[in-house]
Amino acid sequence: MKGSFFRSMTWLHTWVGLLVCWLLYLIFFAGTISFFRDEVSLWNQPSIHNIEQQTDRIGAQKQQIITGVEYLNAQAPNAPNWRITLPEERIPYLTYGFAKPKEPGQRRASFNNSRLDPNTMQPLPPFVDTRGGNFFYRLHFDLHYIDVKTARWIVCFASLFMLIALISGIVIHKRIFKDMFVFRANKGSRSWLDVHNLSSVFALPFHLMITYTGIITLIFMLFPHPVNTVYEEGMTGFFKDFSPSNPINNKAKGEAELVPMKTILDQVYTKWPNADINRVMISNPNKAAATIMVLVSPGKALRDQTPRLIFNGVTGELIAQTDDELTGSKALYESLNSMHTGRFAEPLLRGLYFLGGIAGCIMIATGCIMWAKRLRERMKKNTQPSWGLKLVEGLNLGTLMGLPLATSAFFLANRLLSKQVAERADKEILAFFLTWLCVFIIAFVKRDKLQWCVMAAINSIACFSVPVVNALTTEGNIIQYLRNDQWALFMFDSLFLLFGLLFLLQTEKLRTGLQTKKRLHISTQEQKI
Amino acid sequence: MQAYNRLLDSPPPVLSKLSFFIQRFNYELAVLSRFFIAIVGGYFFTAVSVSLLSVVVPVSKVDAVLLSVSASILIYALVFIYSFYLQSLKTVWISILLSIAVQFFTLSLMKGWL
Repeated sequence: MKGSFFRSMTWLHTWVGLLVCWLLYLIFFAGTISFFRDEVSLWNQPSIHNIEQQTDRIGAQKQQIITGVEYLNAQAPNAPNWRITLPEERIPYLTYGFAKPKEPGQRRASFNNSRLDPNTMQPLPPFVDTRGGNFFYRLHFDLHYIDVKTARWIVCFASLFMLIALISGIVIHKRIFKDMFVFRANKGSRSWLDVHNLSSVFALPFHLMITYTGIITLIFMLFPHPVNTVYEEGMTGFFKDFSPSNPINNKAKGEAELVPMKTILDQVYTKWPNADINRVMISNPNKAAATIMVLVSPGKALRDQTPRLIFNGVTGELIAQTDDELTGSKALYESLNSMHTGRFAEPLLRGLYFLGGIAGCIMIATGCIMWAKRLRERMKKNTQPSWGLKLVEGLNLGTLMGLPLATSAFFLANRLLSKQVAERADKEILAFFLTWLCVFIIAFVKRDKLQWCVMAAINSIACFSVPVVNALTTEGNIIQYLRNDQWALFMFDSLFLLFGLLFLLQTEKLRTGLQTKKRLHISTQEQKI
Repeated sequence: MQAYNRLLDSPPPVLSKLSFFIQRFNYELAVLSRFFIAIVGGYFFTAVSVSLLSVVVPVSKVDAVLLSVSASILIYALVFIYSFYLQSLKTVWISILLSIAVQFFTLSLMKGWL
């Protein structure tokens, strides 16, 4: 475009980055929280905070499944579907659920769930209505308030632009290794550039991986063409081959007794002696067409599709199953997907994923701040900023400061809203978006250093208040969590304290900046006099 | 004669406005055109080439599909960078359109669509 390759890549990096940086910040932010989806859901649901860790979680599964089938058979013998969801390492409770008859217009039947403490097998206190971690998980690729399909296309293209920005960023970065150890503090936009480089280069493999694999998770929407070329029946044909649960089409009529769960489970344990069963799904129970699907945790394997066995529910014979050995391309595709979701990650690796996500947020945030800073620095004195610059600055303040505040508001709403409020889960989400909207309104009225300072202070207060409100409204608090080894909850609260502290530091830094500026202003005025 | 020449020199008002617009926003239009070929051209290039790949690779149907979709974003990104790599915008347009056409023709021959 202009002169050398280097210059055109610089241009591309700047503009592609700027075009989507705020949306990408939202995607990275929500995605980073989603690595702790189960922990967020746990925190949002106080009635499951005090479930004791099971001594032998996997050993208890067989009995839990058998009890579950007996329970469901007594509760809803004619329900179209039964579902037994077993406790997992990060999900402490047990759920027995049966599908309620579909209401007109409903795509999927809703479930009547009984949730139990797996140690005592006693029902848990009623759950509060909340989306928990699923809100952030969905926000990450479905956005909110807009059509899911449109949202996913937008997210796909934003991610593509991210990938382009990363590649062009690597190209224009001449001293990639040297800059890894360079940080010049308090040097205006130069410092921002250093932070931008540090956060990008340190986590570069993560950024590239997460962006590429992110698009791969939505690839059949973005590029359905290979499927349509190879398969006559298109997607249906492909998924029939790809996923083993689809060929089931048992049309048998009439009633029949369900095969004893023991015979099914014996087959599962013969195949996988150490199976960690996640879920058992029974469709058409007590009918001749009954099917039983057993889903087993893939453990640390890089697999996206949960390994499963599918049985005939009357004869107990194995009908279908996931591949034991993956072929090369299947392994490639599955590992790309599972690397993105990181479901296999143990605490340490999960922590690294989280840090990578934060590095991504910092990279994006410093990128868009730098753009505005540079324009400001180049501007001659006493000239009015262009509307473009104002827009960028407004979006910067609104997004970078608004999103953390909205997140705090979401969690505060979870604790402060009355349990009886109708559509409570939606109200929590409303609190999230209303808070964000308020920040945006402020940002578009004024977006000077003072507003940044005030926003940082408000964010700091909000972050500190989350653990405090939690301690006041529930039975637990951060000190108790530490003493009772409730690590997930302890980490949740302490992260909020940490971010509160960081926002406090930012407030202090901005405030001293404001004061020196004021002092300079006064001294120049004195000189004039 | 002079009047006739003048008539030839000054194009009708609409066209002159258009040419003024093109001159005034020359740079912006070039940028837009480059983004268009990078995004839309890149999309079609990728769509055709991964479809071709899925037909060509000698593995089972599922594997062919999974392999080609896994590579798709790499191809898209490369085409995108390519369209900002070359200086001549004309070359970018022609090369991308031509390669889409060639690949699509090959694919149609292989699938017997023609």
